[in-house]
Amino acid sequence: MRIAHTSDWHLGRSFGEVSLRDDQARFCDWFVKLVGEQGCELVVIAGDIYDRAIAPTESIDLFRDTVRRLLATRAKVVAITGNHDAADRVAAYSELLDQSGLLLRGGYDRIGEVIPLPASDGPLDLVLLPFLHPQIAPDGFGTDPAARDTDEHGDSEDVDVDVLLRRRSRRTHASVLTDAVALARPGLTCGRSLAVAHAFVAGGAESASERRLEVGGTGQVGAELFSGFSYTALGHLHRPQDVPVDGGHVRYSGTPLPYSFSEDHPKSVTIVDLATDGTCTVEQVPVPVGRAVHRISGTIDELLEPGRFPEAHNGFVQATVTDRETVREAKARLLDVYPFVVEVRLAPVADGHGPGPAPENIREVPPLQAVSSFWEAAEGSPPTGAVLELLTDVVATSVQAVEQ
Amino acid sequence: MRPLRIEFQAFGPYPERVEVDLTTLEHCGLFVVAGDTGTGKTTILDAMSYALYGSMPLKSSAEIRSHHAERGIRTEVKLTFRVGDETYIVERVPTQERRGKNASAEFVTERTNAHLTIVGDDSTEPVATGVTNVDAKIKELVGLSASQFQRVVLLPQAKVTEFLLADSKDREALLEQLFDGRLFDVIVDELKRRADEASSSVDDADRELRSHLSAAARELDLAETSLREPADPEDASGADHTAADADDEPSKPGESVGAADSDPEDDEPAPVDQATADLDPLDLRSRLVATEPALADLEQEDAAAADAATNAAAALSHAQSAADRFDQAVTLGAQIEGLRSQRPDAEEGAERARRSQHARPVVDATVSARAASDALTNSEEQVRLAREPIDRILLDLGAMPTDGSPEATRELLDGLRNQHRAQVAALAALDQAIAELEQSDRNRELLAQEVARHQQQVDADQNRLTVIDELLIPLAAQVADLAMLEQQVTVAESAITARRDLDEARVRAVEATNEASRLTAVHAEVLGRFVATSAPRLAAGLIADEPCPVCGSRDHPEPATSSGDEPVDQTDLDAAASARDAAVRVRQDAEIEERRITVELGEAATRTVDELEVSLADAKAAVEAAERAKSEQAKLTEERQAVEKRRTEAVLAATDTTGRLTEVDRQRETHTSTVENARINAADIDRAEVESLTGHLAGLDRLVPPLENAANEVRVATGAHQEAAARAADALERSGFASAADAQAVVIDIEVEGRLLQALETVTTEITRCTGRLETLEEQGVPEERPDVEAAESTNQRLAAIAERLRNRLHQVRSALDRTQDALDRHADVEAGSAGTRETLELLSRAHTVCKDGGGPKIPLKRWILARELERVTRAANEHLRAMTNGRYSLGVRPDTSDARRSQGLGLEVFDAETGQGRSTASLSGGEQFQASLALALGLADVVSQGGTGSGHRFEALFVDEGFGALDPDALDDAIETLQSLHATGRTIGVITHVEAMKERLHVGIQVERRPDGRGSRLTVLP
Repeated sequence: MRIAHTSDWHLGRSFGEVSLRDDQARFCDWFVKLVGEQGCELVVIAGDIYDRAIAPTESIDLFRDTVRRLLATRAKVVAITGNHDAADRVAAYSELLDQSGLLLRGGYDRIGEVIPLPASDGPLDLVLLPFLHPQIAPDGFGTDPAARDTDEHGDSEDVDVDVLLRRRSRRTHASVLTDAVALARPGLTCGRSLAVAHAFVAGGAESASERRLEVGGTGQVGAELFSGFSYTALGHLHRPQDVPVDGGHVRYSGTPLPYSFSEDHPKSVTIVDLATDGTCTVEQVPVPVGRAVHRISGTIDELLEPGRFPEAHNGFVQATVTDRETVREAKARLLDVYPFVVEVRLAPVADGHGPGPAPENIREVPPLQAVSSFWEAAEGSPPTGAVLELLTDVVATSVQAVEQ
Repeated sequence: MRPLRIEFQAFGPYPERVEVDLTTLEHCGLFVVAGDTGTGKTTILDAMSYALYGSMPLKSSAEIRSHHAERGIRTEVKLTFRVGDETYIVERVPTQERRGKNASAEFVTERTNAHLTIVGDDSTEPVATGVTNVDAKIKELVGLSASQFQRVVLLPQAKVTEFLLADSKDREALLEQLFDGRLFDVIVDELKRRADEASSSVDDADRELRSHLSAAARELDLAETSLREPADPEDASGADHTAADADDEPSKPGESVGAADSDPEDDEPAPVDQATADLDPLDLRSRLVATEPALADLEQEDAAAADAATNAAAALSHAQSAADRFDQAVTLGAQIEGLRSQRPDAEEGAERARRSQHARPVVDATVSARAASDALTNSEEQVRLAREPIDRILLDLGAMPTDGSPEATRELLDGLRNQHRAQVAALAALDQAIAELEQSDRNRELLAQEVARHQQQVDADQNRLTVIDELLIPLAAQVADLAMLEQQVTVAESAITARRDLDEARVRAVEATNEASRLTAVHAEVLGRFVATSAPRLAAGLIADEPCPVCGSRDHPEPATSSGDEPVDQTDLDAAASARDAAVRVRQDAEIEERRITVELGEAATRTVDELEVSLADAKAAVEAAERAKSEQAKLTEERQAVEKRRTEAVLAATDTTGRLTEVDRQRETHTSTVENARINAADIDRAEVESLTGHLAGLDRLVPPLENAANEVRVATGAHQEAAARAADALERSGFASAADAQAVVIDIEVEGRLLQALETVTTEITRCTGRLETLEEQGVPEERPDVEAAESTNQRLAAIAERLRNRLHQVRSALDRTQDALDRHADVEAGSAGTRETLELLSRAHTVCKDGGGPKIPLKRWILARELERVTRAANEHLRAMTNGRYSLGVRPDTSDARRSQGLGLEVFDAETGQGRSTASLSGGEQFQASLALALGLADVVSQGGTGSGHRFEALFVDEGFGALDPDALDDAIETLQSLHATGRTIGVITHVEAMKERLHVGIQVERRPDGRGSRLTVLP
């Protein structure tokens, strides 16, 4: 069966101040067409559908329309929420939607469930693992008694509150995901399985635009967690990449459009042909829409040369201006040449606004030295001779007076 | 420092107890304190601030206590926190009313108080108590003051935005609160103080300089003026020019004249002239030098005039002495003439005098001889006079006249005296003896009386004794009966008692008898009834064919029937019987008693109580009488003893006195015989005679010494007379006069003698002297004619006057020039001396100005220091700001002085990489301002917590209060990213917000909401 794997659409996101709404709409158009042309039976969207929890209505409308059009191609659509999505909101009606062909999962609701999907060439076990917030795991979740909030009998009231809190604090993104997978595994019966997860699997490369999954932890899970699934469609990392694992194929589809300046790689969606025995062939289809990102640097004059960075003219530009002196109106001037310049950095900067030597902690400096520095700044040269003697004496007298 | 747990009660909008365990939220790292506006989210931070410091940002202490809290609930706050490895608990209560401890309903005011304890493994130990101690300890532990804490740990976004947008002046005030800049204010003040001191020293020196200069100028002008006077022409008329001529010279404008009066020794600086500003010491010095030629000229003039005057003076004196000699010679000549004419007379007189001298001794001796003779006569007369009264007295006495010599007289006198003495003694002895005798008589009389008295006493006492004894006899008898009488009384009393008892016993007996009778009757009746009723009873108990208990028959044909009387059974009967028996016994007892008493009484039984009482009364009376007798007896016995004693004493006394009397009698006899003897002795003596002799003797005593003196005188005078006569004869012989009369004729007054001799002497001497002097003069040279002295005199005066004037002028000029030099020298000294102070003043002024005004950049010292701090803050802030704005914005401290306003140096500007220019912070949009102020707040927190001592009081917790509402979603993302990156450094970050998106993105750790009953708020911690 043919599966279209994409993720991290981040609908509603802007690039700098430039809205990506049109680009995203264009991508959706193209994607729908691709799915139809490729004859995919299944579309997998592995999380971060929206860019933020309260998504703008136009993004919500865009998603709804896209899903409707995808379903119209007779493909089924499987989608999970990611860390950017508000799981409660997005998956609020997921039960009601199951029948429509959209399998939408978010949060701990029905976690660990194995969905048997009858494909054209046989059954497929589907395990959907949306992004799970470790803090809001329900009581009793997890196979690890140490991590559970209940005692052996499943009663939570008898457990000491401190113990409870300690257990709860030991939950991490990795531990809940591991527990979720462990819940699902027993339900895998047929020869091929597809896991859809939104996680940071160790071995993957981050871009500049992924939001941290966990505050105060790495948020990573080991790839071997997914070993045994025929294909694991991952979302979260923005670069399309495979993660090596034994016993299966684990892959990030990446974002459809570049969302940060570190994403200067070609963007794509992944088409997977999954055989009945679980082997899969993976093809990367480049996304032809959207503006590429370009990082250019040079002096202002260099940058303003029309032919210098020709390909950057239509892309999102991060310009680093290397002039020694501060350049005035850099962005305004660059806009003439690069209409989509988003960031202008000045480096190096000479007048103290950029990184330079750290100013000394004036409070750790002996008072006389502080006054001498002041003198140098005020008079142009450090105090010497009679002036220095005078300042030394006055400072000593004043220090004594203040200490009283 | 990490806060672990905050508990508060009746605080802010929370009427009840609230506990927030921050440790449960630690694992979240970044959590939201959510709740509607005004519900009390910030109160948690206020509580933390209050617990630590007793103050809250933006709120007064009046708002501490919850308005909704019930009156008796105590407002208190308790914060548990960790510093390093130690855990502490600080508790604080505000001043409030609460219930009194003694369960009274009254409210007492509890004063604000605080406690700080440290938590050990098992227990807590107090560290500080009382607001002051706790505040000090907290400051030490936490390392921040209240205002620092409230700005740096509890980040009130509104406040930080204020800081971002404030102008330099306000920012300075804020920075001062966070970084202590006091030291630099003190430095500037100290510089000012020293500069002022130096300035006043310099002023003093300047004043001195000016005064010296003006003094020098004054003196110099004076000297110059004096030097310019034209020389006086030689004026033969001798007109008087005085030094006041100098005043005619034109004076320099503005100068004061009066040099003649100035005291060159006066060191006080004179009032400064206006022209002193123009005075130049160098100029003055050169002028001083320039006066030298004129001075030299003047000196020359003066010398010449002095010479001329000297010459004139010499000529004058020459003329004078010559004239003098001339006059003297003339005079002497005349004198000598005169004297020579006087000489012969003088010689004659002297001869006369010599002759008198020769005769004088004779005359004198004769005179003295005569005088001695007179004296002798006189003294003999004296003797005679002295003898007269003595002789008279002796005559009176009939004594032998003496030869009148004092010795004889004295001898006689002694004899008389002895005699007299003896007589007197005898008389005295007689008198004494008589007196003694009389005394004895008197004594005897007294003693005899005493004896009689004593004897009387004895007799009286004896009589009394007898009387008493007689009285005692009957009394004794009475007393003896007393015991018996008392006994009778007792008997009578008991008889009466018994008689009464008898009456009673009789009554009782009668009663008992009656009772017994009655009860006997009763018993009889009962018995009757019993019998009467027994039959029916028995009959009732009969059972057919059972033997009757009475009869034994088995037939009971006619059982008795109850008669209707009250049934009486055996019990009743027995009761009646026993009652009767008892009553009988009582009766018997009563009768026995009665009989007993009767026997006791005996015959008294027959008598009535009244009779018995009468007997009793009698007996009692008898007893009383006996007792009276007894006491009487006692009294008399006592008296007897006393009287006896007295009698005995009297006897003894009488005996004693009689003895004494005998003694006295004996003495009396002695005295009588003494008197006899004395009388014999004194028989011949006539008292009156003795008396008068006494007087005479006294008189004689007085008269004898003068006699003796007179006799002495005579002796002496006789001697003298003899001597004088011998001398007179001798003198006459020697003198060669025939007789004393001759000598007398020649003698003249001794004064005259002397004078005459002297006169001759004088004349002779005088002549010699004048002659000698004349010779001398002629040796010296006497002119023929007398020289013209007046002419010489007038010339001399004139020339002297001229010389004098010149001398004065010269002196004036010299003094003035000296004083000028002196003043200039002093001026130079002061100038040199003050150079150092001037330098110091310049240095201090400059230093002060630089520190106060800020030198070139015009930034004062303290503000510069604060600007450095601000630079550090912005540098730290820029780390965050660049991250939040993708490198676009960074903050900088604006140092330029393009603004004419004074407050510079603490300006903040935002550097926009896109424009490459800085611009005012106010030009940022709301969201950008939030980002900048959040970055600034985080930078502040970083810098403040690093402290000045490098001890690194790191803050493990940070609270951001609102502000996120101004951000668009992307900016919000960036802000959250920034906060999350902070958490990565280990801090717990609490974000107070009502922004929905934040609650979606972040875990809500604390939910605050209004209580349903409207009484304030409540909160829930959601770990």
